[in-house]
Amino acid sequence: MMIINCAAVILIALASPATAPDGPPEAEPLKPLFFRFDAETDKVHSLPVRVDASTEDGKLYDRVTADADGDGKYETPIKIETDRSSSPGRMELSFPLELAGQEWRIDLMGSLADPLSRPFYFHWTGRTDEFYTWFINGKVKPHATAADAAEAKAVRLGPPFEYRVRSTTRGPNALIAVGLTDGNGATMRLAGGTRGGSRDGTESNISLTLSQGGEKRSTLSAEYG
Amino acid sequence: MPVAEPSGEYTVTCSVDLSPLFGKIVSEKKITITQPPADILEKRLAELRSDNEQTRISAAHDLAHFQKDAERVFPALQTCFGSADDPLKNAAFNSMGSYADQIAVHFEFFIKILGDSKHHDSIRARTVMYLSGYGPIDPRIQTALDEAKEALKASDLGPSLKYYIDHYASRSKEASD
Repeated sequence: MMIINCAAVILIALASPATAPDGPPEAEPLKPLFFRFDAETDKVHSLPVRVDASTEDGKLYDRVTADADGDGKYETPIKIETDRSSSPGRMELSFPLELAGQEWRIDLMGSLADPLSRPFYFHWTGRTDEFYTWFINGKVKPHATAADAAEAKAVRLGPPFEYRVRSTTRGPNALIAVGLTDGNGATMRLAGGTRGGSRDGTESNISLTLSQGGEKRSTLSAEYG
Repeated sequence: MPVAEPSGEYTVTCSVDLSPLFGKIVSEKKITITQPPADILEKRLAELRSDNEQTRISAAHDLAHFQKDAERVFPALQTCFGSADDPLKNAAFNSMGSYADQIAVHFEFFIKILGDSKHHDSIRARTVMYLSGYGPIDPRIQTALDEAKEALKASDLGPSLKYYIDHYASRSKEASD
């Protein structure tokens, strides 16, 4: 009896047509990604944000919505200003956010291959009519649900800031490197004035004063790069 | 940024004015500045002749930072090309790029590299980049570039490197025209 059964299995396997695909496998529709952004004035303001695909085939993240009133529904559309996704499998979106009475701009970049498994990079820019700051290369983990994003660490826009200073030697020189970082680990790249909404060429650079035993020794101005 | 203060403990006061958005952000930090020893150039030049391969390579890397002493450093880096040690040659060649504004006087060395097929293609391709900035100075450089461009076309270079060769060599020619 056992021998007959084995033979039958082999025959069935031989009779089954080969299942070679005709082309590349269809990609799974992209699943929504959830983030949360915080900014602090007199209290911490929080904005949950969802990034998803607007079409059924779900091949592109091309829609950003926010839960502005905290009712769990992502009904506030956010206009994507720039889609700079430069290569297949990558996402690079820029969009504005209103939070804590302030206008922010977010650049969000990440891989579409299993996006929940790795962090995305982001830049944030805070701006008024006269001034802007640009912090770059923070990392944020996307979440599969709004509840997960609500419990996880949010992307903090604005303060608290911290200076990171280090002294090194390279070749014949002693060097000082300084950066102003935010709570996400993003570093201030540029800060300056705007005129008519555009950079006006004035920049605000970090200055350093070196003192020893209470006596001022020298003053330096940071160079970006 | 370079700092000329002597070695020692310092207080650094950092300040940047992010008004009106975030106000003025000021903070104090303690740091220790350690100036390199005065004879570090001599040490690095000696290390180029070390028996230890990693020491030689590190020295070649570090010699990118002695622009004031180019007349001593550059010939020392050139000696690395007499060796069959590719990582050392590569490190030395990278450091030579830091002397780009001073290498015009050494262009014959680069032309020789271009014409010597025993050097790795990537080094010869970067030689094109270094030299291209000096095309107008001496017609021999442009001639060498034109010849190298043709010779390197047959090499198995990556597409981006080929692009740079085309780009730099043609740009140099435009400048000399």
